[in-house]
Amino acid sequence: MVDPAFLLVSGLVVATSILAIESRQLVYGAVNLALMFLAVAGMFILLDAPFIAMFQIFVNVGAVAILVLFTVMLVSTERWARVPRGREFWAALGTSGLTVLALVSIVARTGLADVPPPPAAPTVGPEIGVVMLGNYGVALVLLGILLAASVIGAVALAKVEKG
Amino acid sequence: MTTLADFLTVSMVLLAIGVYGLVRSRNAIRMLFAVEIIISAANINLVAFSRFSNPMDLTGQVFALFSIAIGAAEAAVGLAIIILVFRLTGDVDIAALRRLRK
Repeated sequence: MVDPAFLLVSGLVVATSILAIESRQLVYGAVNLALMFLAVAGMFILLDAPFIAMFQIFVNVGAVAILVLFTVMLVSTERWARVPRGREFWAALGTSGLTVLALVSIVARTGLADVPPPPAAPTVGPEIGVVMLGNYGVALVLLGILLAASVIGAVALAKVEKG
Repeated sequence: MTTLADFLTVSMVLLAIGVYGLVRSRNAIRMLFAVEIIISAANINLVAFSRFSNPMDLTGQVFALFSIAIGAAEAAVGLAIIILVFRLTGDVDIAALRRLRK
């Protein structure tokens, strides 16, 4: 028996991601992308990872989705509203179908489906900070440098040159 | 009872949708959407394997945190490049960018 909450969240994730790709207006696609990020946060809560869900909401729903929305508003014109359904549609469908087929054939061989569910996970409190700063402190600092560099690079790229 | 296979199935469907979107669309912004969907699928995979292999070990969750942060950095740089391209060419169609080769 599948958990109804899992069914709801996974249906939401799949539906919003399809709408993000297929919606006619780019703005609706951006909104659906934000909803997809939110539904993925729900998925993390189902996986007993509330800290990751919080981080996902902060970073992806709070920052990335707004950034995407503003870019769409800056860049968007009506010309791109249409999505032609031609040869590319079947090529894309075939490529993603082949990807799934390859993955299923690999995973089916590993016997991953028979992994028993582990006992109830402990509630994650400050332990994740201990792991993050203890074992992966250098990686965390490097990540901060990377984020700063990428934001500075983004500003430098998008800067409007006057004259 | 939700099993590991259920979460992997959702993640695989997300990957399929992302690959479909990458191949299908010629709009750079929509391709960025597809990349974000694929990154989300990878994050679900990381957390699901962490939860089902050893719930006491939080390494998988830390990796998911790093992955989310790097995804945000990628989105920032990608959107800046899209804005730059739009200013240079007046379009974000990938086909219009072919002349960058010359």
